[in-house]
Amino acid sequence: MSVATKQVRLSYEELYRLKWLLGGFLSLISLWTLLYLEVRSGPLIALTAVVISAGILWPSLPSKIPSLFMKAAVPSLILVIAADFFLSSPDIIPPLIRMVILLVLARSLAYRKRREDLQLILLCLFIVVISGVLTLSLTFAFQIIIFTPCAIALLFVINLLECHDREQEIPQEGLSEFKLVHFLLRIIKIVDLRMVAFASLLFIGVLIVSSFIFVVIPRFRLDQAIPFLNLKSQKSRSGFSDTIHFGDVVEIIEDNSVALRVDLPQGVEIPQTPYWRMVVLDDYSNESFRMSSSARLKNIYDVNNIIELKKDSPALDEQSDQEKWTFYLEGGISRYLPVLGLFDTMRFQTRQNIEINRLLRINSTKDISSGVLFYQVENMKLMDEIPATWYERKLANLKPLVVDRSSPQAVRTGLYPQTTLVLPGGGGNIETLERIVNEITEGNKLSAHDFTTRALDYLNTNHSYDLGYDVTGSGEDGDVLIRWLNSKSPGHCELFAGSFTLLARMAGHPTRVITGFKGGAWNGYENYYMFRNRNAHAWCEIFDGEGSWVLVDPTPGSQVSDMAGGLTASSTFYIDETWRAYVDSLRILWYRRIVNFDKTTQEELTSQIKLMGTAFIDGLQSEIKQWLHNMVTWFKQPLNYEKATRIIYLFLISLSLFLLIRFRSNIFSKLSSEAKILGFDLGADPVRKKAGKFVVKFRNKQSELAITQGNMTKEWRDIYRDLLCLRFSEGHDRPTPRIVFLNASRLLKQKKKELV
Amino acid sequence: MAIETPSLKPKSLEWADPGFFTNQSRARNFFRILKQLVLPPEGHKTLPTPVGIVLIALSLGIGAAAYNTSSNILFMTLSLLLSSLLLSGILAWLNFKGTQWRLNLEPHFRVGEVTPIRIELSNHKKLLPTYSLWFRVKASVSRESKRVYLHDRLDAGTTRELNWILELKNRGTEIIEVAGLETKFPFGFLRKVIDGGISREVIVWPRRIDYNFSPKKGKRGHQPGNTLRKPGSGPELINLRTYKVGDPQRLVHWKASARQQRIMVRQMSVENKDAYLIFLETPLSKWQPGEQFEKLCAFAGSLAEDLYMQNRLWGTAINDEAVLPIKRINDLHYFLEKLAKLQPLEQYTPVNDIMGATIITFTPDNGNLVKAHVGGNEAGSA
Repeated sequence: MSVATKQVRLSYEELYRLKWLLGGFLSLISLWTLLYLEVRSGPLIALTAVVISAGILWPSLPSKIPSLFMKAAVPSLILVIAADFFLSSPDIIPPLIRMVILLVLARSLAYRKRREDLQLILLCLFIVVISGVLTLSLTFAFQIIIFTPCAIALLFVINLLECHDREQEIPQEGLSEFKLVHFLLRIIKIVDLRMVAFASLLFIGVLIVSSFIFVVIPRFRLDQAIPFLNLKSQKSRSGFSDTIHFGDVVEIIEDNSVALRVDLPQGVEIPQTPYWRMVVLDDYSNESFRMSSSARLKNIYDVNNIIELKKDSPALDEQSDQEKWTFYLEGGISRYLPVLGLFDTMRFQTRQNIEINRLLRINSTKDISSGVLFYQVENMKLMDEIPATWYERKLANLKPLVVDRSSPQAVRTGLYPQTTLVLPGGGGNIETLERIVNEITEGNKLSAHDFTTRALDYLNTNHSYDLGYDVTGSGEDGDVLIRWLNSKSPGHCELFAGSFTLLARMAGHPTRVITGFKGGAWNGYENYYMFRNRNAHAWCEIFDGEGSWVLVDPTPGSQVSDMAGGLTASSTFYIDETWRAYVDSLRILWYRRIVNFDKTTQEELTSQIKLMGTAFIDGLQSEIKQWLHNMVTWFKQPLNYEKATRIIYLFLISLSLFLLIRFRSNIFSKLSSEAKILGFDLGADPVRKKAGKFVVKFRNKQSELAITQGNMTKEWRDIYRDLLCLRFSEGHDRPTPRIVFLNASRLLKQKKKELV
Repeated sequence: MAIETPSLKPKSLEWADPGFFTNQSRARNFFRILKQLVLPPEGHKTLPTPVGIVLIALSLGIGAAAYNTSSNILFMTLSLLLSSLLLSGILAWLNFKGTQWRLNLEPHFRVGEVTPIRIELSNHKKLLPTYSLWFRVKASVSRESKRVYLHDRLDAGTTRELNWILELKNRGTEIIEVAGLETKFPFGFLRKVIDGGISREVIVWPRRIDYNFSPKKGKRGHQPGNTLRKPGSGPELINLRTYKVGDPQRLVHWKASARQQRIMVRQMSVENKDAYLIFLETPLSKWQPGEQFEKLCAFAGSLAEDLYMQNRLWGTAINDEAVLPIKRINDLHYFLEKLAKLQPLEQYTPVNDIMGATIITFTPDNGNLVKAHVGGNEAGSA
């Protein structure tokens, strides 16, 4: 083998170590993806990660595990897995994922042969994919991009080991001497940067080709003909369930993570302070607001108990000019879907079990989604008044209902909508409320509008806003809201909303508490609305006695604090262009371009490409036509000296070019032979010339240094032989000239230094 | 100062390659390669390995799940799997590209002797090494085959010999064939097979055996003074041959070298007057196919070689064929090749014009013994 191209290579032990390392990294990457999944397996994931990391740093560890332990591991694993499935039923996904983690752990505790390595790759791939499918997280994109080359490299090394003559051997001695840093330095030392560059180019090619396949692969809907397992989130963030205890909403107000993103339709003015309704809480008892069972049950569900709004339903497809709002609700927030007001249609990307409450005009999924939920709302109206249903219109004739649950003869709460007039009895609650209401109304009977104005003044005067609150006394001293009203303590949005609700009910105006999101920020990078958990809010809706529920936000500092103003469409809003907003914009791009890529998007993309292509061709055609027209016009002009000269020049140039191209080889050889006569050599092979010069230098050096055949080094002999081959031989067996010349120069310089 | 001048390699016509490129234009080669990637040409096969089948099943499963759930994450995974499969095909093609191989066989094969079958593999690429491939080499007549692996990486611009050590058991004609070049590079999903394209017929000489040969001293044959000339250091020029390391420079024939573009040297002769003629008659009535006949061939071959080395072999004759004078080593080799193919003859007319005191003949004896006679007298046995 020629010295010129000799390269250092990894031995069998080193390849095995590299395979072990890659397997460990692959497992760690897959465990990383599980961190975004709610599978209640934190300790197991941590343990597996620690074991794998230890295995990476000290590969000799598996050899120290007693064989009895490994033999007992298999039946134990089977038992544990079976028990987990049994105890977790009917939920399948969490025990399935735990099973896979255990298998990965088992594979990491023992030296692997080829079959086991392939099993490990499959297990890790399963984890990565299932996590991505269930969470739809942006980090999945990075994880799969890191996972893919790692898996490819591992397969490559496995393939190299397979062809080795020691294929089935596990070099335990080599693993016991392993030092990670030394090994990595060794890899860095021997790696060929050109190969790294080539591999990188190949990987970029893989990404480009896979992107192309992703875009062109035909899409059609099967609508989960085979039901797919869904991972349900165990609980929602507090404040967005149908029962709210004081402090629930406040718990998430300090949370800065984005909970909701909204893409607005084009041409719609962004509301100044949008209120996104999620949950309506009508009943108040035991110091908690909740959605009463009558509000939940009556006329709420569709006849079939489940309402699905499918995308691509024929009737809706015909209406192509709908204003579409696209919502991206993060997983684990709530099963209630925030909207601004009434709308025409709600569409989902996949089949969903939706519960539509036509009475309260709220919508929810059956379970809390663990991953991002996408839905589109068409023709949503920005409303500060929600029209009351015919059922609610009889509220105008109802009186407040005092419910004292401490009494043995407690009056039943009643049915919705009467629950919107329920007041807590006992403990002096009613007396306190009466006093405060009298103070507000001054004994007069006020309309809902007037009462709201005065009540808000009262609340703002007596209480300030603070996330914390300090209400003295206990339940025996009255309801917590009543006690707060009696005090001058500051409070948060729940207290203000709850208090206003009770005061309005006392005044005879049906009122209910609403929770959802308010405000938000505009992402200036990708132009969408962002709502963080700290934008969670509670406000009220008061029945105006004329058939509408009017939005009232009693919390001080809110922009909408009176009925007269209501929601106004305005262009003023907070634009977020911080680095957090930039990072979040990447996420929305991920959702828009990748996760939500569907048949419609494909068709749009195709038509866009078609349009671009058509426009380009049309433009080119018109340019060519214009040019031809100009040429024809020029030719039609009368002949003059300048024109004749130009024509002749053009003709001569064209003729010369044609002759040059047609007879180029003949011309060159003629020139070469003429040049040779004159003493120039144009046609000699430059490689042979250069090799000849090096041969002369080598011979001179050999004379100078008295190098004979006996004392000639192998390196010198090999390079000299390569030079002679380059100078004299023909055919395919010539070594690579560049490398031979490089090595020859290096050797000559080295010899020159020795001479000096 | 003498510098070793390496021998210039003659142009080889024996190299086989994957046949990716022909002497057509680049454009034609490009389209032909594209077509080959999709529709492998004859002799080229692409078969999925068990791992590949799992990958295909996995892709189908993920594809089905993707369509069922309309999940773009699954579509993305499917796209990555498919593009990895495509990458695997391209890298496997690149692995073969630029490789050439040829079969280097020993000039002579002999029964019972271990002979290396050498496959010279060359990587003519400029940058990329060649990995993880193997040859299926077969000895068709003996029905032996082996996978000869390239265990390590073959760097760009280098050549390596892969060996298969073969011991042939039967004399005669053997066909050594490089039946196929295979690889599972790079990921083990697909096994690419390329027709090896090389098949060589070799003659397997009879084995060397121990024997005893002690002819009686006495009168010579009635053709005294048989002279034998063989290569040596005499004055007479008998041949021109290519230069071998160690040949003195004074023997170089410069004109012939200039004409033939390689270094040629003169081969001189030396005389010897004490020589035998080995005469083999193999009628079926005398010799039956079997162990004894094989021993006859082995005995005759071994004796011929030893006599030649001692400069005492004048010629050979087999049955009714013309006498073959043994002047050079090639003549001896020719005789051995004829011995390799020798079989008992059903119809044989004895020849009477080969006689003399220096003629060695053979007869079968009891118990698979073979006896040698010189001038009718027993001179040895095996």
